[in-house]
Amino acid sequence: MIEGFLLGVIVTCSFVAAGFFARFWFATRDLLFLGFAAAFALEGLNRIAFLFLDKPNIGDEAIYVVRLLSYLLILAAIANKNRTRS
Amino acid sequence: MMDRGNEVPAHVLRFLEENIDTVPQLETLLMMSEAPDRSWSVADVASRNYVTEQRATDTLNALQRRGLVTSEESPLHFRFSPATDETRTAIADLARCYQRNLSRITELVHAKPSAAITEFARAFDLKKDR
Amino acid sequence: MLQLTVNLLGTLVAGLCAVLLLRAYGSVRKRLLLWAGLCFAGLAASNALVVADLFVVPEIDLYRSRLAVAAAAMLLLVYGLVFESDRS
Repeated sequence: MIEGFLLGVIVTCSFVAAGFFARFWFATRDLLFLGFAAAFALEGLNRIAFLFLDKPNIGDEAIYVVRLLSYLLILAAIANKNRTRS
Repeated sequence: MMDRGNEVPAHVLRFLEENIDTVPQLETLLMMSEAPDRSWSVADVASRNYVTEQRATDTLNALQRRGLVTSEESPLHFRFSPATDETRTAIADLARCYQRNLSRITELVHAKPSAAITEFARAFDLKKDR
Repeated sequence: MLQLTVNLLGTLVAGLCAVLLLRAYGSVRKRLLLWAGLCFAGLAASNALVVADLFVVPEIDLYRSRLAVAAAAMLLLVYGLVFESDRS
């Protein structure tokens, strides 16, 4: 019960955060924010998958791959920010 | 954004984009650029711009971080001091544009996202180290 | 193996974000950076807890703690976004 509740908090907050970052991206056109928005949205969706698992505390290969992807999105956004510009 | 006849030149737009987040920053910088030999205290800036001393302090610190003003201790005061000649020229041109077209310039500054957001993005910019 | 890698990477990435944001908060004092920095610190901790849960102390179930830390971290971020992101 509590775990479900906590997951719900995490998912909702992830989507809200993604929404804010998406707005910041519209306002600034800074790809950094797009990266964060995508990463949080992806993780939010990913966490929903936990509901369908038998052993949520161990997770699942697919879940870890998606999580990896969201971290890579953040790293890519940061790397892109620090690219030297002409 | 459609630019009308009497335009804001590209280098001024770029300077605004990269260095000015708020109207107090703009006005403080222009005010200081008109008296380049003068030293300004936080109280001077606060009263001339009708802002609180805290706001003036934040503004001056931001301008200092961008290499536009320098500071000296005891007592703390600031001086107009752009890091490069290119910057100095851009500020002079900005001052002219501001006189000719005040509403356009302030509109450009207001259109910027909040300082909190721009500072969030800057936090990840390791090159500039601002 | 994948789990270990992903969670270690997660700890590092979140930790990096936390360091950058908190360091920037130190110089510019915009509260959004504080809340976001603390969020990422919490997410780093949550990821570290997953590693601990699965590999260091597998006999203890840390699942609820992992979730609680992540939830608290996300709440801090949302608080910061809602109340501090339009400050100039």
